[in-house]
Amino acid sequence: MTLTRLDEPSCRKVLAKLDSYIDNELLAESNLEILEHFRACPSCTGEAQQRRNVRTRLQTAVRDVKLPAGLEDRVRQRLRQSQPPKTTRFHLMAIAATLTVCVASWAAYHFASPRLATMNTVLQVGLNDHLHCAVIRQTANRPKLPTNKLAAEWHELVPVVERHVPGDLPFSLAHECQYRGRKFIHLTFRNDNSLLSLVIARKQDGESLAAANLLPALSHSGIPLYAAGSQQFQIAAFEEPQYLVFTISDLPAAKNLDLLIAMAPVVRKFLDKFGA
Amino acid sequence: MSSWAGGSAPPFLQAAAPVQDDRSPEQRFEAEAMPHLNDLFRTALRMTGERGQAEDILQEVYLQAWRSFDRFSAGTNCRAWLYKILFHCVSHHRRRWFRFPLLKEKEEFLEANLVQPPSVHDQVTDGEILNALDAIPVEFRSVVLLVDVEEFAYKDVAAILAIPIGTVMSRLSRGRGLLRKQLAEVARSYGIGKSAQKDNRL
Repeated sequence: MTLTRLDEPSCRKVLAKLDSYIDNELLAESNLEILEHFRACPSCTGEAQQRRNVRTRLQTAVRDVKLPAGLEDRVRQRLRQSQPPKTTRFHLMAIAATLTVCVASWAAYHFASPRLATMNTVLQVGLNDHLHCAVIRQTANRPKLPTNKLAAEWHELVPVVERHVPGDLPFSLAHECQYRGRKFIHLTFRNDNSLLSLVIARKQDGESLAAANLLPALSHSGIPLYAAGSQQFQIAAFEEPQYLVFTISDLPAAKNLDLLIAMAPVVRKFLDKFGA
Repeated sequence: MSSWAGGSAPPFLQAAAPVQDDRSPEQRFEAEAMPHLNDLFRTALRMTGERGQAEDILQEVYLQAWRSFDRFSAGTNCRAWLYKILFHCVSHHRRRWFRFPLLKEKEEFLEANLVQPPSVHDQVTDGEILNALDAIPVEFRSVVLLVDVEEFAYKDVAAILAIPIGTVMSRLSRGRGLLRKQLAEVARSYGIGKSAQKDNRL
């Protein structure tokens, strides 16, 4: 091995470009410079050859891995169960869909809501309550009310959830509210900049996140978690046999989801009492 | 939630010219996306190190690809598009469940190039090469895989990983350097690259 040779300035220059050279990513004139150098420098020529050799061995080793038996079929099966993508071939349908979205967006803005047109209806259950209760009603100047207006059996939920909310987002209100004939358990945390709701809704008419053709954002402790965002709010959700649980906030999507990840096991444990 | 499928598409995802295609989306997906299953799986496996996780990620990649297939322009690089989704999924899972120490990237990556290790000897097995690769921090490993194994051009790697092309080059150089070091260790354990006397003993 001739290490000294590699320390020469011309060698250093070539070595700095060697990776790009063997990937054929250099301009023609740089290639020529390197080829010129190779003619006089067996050490750099050898180094280039070694790097190609490592690349070839790596290719062989990685490419030798074969697809597990049945995986291709499993992927196809899952795709068949999923909704087909929107096709761009039917222009009239595309125009009609665009018009629908425009009208729905206008309506959404008109009624002071974020765009709901594309959000799944099960996820909207949580968002609607958050909007109706925490955003629209509580932004009005109202006299201070007792913060915890929950029925006694829900009281323990507040400290359990609060433990997982950052200290700069203090607990604001816990109550049972009603929107469009459905009752919600609603905890809010807020500061001057942000608003977070934990909303628990009892399921109606076979509602299910799993059956709603949504893709779980991830699965934590065996609990699939779903996420969606509108223009102003981020929603994360999971479900129990009887309940839908949401975090809705104006925090970044990842933060909103992280909060639900942190709360999911304890909220599930709490709800298990009612399921029994 | 993500930027891979929305916003302004990187150049390699943009259509050169509208392509007349009478096939159904199912037929197009089957012809354009499904053939890359094997390539994506081997990359997912190297990025996660675990077959079950790699399978889960692959399922997720294909489901997401299918759902946003309308946003993929026919005639452009479907393989690169799928890899972009793959790395999005991998980093999503990684952020959630693991805390991998990220190596601080140094601009002066020349040092890795200055020590000339012995070439990969035939005695070094494929398994040992994979172990060496898996030992490299993920941000370098991903670039090495995309360039060396999947043979993407630097500009495509930059688009797939959403990093500047200069970062692709520095990570590649650093990643390859680390891989060579790892392999040199393996070779040394066989006694390759030491003095000739050792070989004479055999």
